Amino acid sequence: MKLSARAYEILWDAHAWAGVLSSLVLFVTFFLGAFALFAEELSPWQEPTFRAPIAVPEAQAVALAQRLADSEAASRPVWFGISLPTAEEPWLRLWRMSDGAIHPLWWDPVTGRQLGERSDLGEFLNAMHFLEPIPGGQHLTGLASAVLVLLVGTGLLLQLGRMMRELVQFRPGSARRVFWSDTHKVIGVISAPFLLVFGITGGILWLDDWFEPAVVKTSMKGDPQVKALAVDWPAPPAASGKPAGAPDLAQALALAKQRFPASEHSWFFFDNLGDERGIVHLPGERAGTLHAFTHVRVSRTGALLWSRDTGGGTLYSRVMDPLYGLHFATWASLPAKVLYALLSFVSAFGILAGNLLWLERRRAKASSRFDRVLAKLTSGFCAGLALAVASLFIANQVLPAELSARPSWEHAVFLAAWGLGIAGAFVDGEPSRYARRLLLGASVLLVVVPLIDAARTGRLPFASGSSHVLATELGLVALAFLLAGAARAIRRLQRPTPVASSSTVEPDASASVPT
Amino acid sequence: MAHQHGAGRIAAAVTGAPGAAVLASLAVPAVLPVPADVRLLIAVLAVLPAAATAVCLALLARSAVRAWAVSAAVAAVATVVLVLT
Repeated sequence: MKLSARAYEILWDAHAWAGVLSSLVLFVTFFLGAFALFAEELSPWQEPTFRAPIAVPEAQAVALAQRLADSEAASRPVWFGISLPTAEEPWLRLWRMSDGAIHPLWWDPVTGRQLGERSDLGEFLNAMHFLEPIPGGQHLTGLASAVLVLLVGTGLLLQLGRMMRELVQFRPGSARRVFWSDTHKVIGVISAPFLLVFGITGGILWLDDWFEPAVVKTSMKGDPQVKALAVDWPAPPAASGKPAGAPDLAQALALAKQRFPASEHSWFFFDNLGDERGIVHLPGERAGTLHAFTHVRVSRTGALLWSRDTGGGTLYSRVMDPLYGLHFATWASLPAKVLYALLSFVSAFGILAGNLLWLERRRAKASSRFDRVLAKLTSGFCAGLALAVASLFIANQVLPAELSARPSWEHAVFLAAWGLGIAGAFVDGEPSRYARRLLLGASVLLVVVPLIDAARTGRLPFASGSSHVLATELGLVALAFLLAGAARAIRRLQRPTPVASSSTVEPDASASVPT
Repeated sequence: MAHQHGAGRIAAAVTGAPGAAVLASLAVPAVLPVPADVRLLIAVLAVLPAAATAVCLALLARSAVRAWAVSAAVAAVATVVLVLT
């Protein structure tokens, strides 16, 4: 089955324009998505003091958490959280909410002392994955996710009757237009299921803000209780206004372990702490299932109020939990996460290939101002992002550990490097040469990062003794090689190539059908 | 590109058609005789593919008038359903 020539042209245009207009945001989403997967695992890298094993037994950490919760109860926060030491973060962490944002604080579990601010490199890259730190960025990413669904749909329709032939058609020696066309199609088809899952789940996360409330209003008569039952997530009891102490955390943890013995419990999240009706919520993480999380809520008096097994108890939760599991890779072991990361980079490259195909096609017809700006933006935005990531890792190494507002300084370095990368593209006259330089610069910085870390911690590179650190070192060096390879490929592609004729591009297609 | 899309059809594809798809994705679950969790599930899973399909159909329409007319009709029916339920 094949589309008519008219339908093919229309859908090709829709695919091309929607792709070009959303490409830069989607590139950021997929490129940084690879880092977001390892937000937790990066903790020992970003904060060298986290490379030590957990220094206290669980009971001692829970006792400290109890003291912290007891003292916090006096201020009666609506929401408050404590995480116990883990292999990635062997300190206690407090989560306070103020001004609508969550602010973490660190505590030494051995001395019970509050510690200063620490780098949030992994969490920042995760937040940048959906542009959260940029005003309006979340909506932009959500919209781009919705457009990604359109792109996958139109892309697959365009491949009707051609898919098998074009899937195995790759002609690296041909003209650049043919090369980018083949690259875009092969990557697009192979990664289509991956892209569709991320487009739909990323879009659904965005829909939570505005579409889900509309569904509650139209399909559930606006009743939040009905929605709570539908998603198997009841609201915590309302505060009574009568002051009371914190729940017994050791008892709550014992209840959670008894209810879900296969889950790991390291968090205490409090609703209405310091109120008579205050509760503590203990999420548990279970390996080897798409439904990754269990939940237990315990009252202040130690009664089990509610529990939720993996996947929840409704059709909605049993479908949506695994979908979110697929998006966040909560189910995945390290090798599976590495595969996810590779797919993320390949998808980002496929998106980039679409832009370069657009530019090559338009170059043949004399580029417009839009195309010239797009070429510079693609160069500065995408290669600049790689440079920004490398600069962030450098800043994480060289900024003083006790620097006040250290995370903000790291964020500023990232954003400044990216901004300069984009601005520089409009100063340099040749986008491909400029991208090559940025990629090489990023590559050099990434190779230097493990060397600086080794020098700072007085050891040989790749010999820290920590699997987390070794994995990060290998990942950074692999990324450096990848970026250097990309720079080399750009240089090779800039060499003169034969002009593509329509017969070279599409041997069996009519001349009016674009490829 | 040989094909001329026309501003009217593009406007329908970018605004009217996805808007109508969103309304339809709210209206259809509202009248389905299924539990509330299934309604919510259908709505959130259907809305993005529905909007993408609507964009394609508007672009493939024979004329801008037809693209707008179908979008308006779907939106009107969905609105009536939502008002009545």
